[in-house]
Amino acid sequence: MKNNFLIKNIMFLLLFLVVLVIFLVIYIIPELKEYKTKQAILKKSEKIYFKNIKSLKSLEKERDLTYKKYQKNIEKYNKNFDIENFKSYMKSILKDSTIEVTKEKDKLNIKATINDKEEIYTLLEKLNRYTNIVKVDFPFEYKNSKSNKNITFYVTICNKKLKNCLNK
Amino acid sequence: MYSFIKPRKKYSIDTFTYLWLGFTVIVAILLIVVGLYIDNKNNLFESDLKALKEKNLKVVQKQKEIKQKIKEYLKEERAGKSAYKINTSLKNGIKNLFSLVPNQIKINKLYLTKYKVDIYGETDSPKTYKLLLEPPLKSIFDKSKVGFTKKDENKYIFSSYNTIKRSEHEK
Repeated sequence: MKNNFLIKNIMFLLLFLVVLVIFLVIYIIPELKEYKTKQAILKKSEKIYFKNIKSLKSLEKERDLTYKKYQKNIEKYNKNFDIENFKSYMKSILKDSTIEVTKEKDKLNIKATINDKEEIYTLLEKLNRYTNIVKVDFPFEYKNSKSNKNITFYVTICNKKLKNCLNK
Repeated sequence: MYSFIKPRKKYSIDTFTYLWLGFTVIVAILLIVVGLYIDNKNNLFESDLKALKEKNLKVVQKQKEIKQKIKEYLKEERAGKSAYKINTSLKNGIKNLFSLVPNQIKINKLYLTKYKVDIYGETDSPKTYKLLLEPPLKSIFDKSKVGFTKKDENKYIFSSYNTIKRSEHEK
């Protein structure tokens, strides 16, 4: 009777162990392995993500600093160009002189009658202060006759829409 | 023989077997629950990873956009600076050119291109030009040529052609 009980007990213990091993080997251990792998991948991805966030913030800072540093020219470049406004600006520089601004392809032709050579310098200097980026283009011509002094030259407007000046 | 107590029911499976089987089943159920919990965690990891990848992609995209923006800003600054430089150097160039011309010489026309300056004017004699204007022009330009035509007794018309060489990177 006692022997029977012991044998039965051993058999049940064996059955239990078999069930346990089967569950562990087939189900739990692979799941745990997957868990560990995925956790490691997630941690690595999180690390990369935070690194990217950090780099994004420093890039944003760099962008803002660049903008602040070069604000004047950036604003000038991105401002729409209005030819009428430019004409009146040019007229305001040479108050006692006549000035004519005409459009020629992607350039503007400027013809002015001036009273003194000094006005050339003023004109070229004031072009730098216009609300758009204005670049003088060659040829530049100066004519001095008995009655008056004439200048003829071209300007290019460096503007977002016109896309001039860049890569030149 | 007669017994006064009722006979006990005889089960095909005894209580001890029940206990063992019950224990085994409970442990199996517990293992399944643990397995399901880990599986659920794995699925959560997967969805977290997917969301993180999407977020990361957006961050990388934004980084690219910002880098592009910085490039644009620098380009725009270069455009402004280059325009300023050209305008200012032209102004200074013309100023210097006029300052070279002595009172005895009158400039009638100036024609400037990037590498060339043509000067047309009047002088009382070719000697005056050669003495007063030619040396500074020759020191500035790589080539300087001049031609004279007599206008009247005391006046000569001159045409001066001056060029500078293009620098290597501009060719």
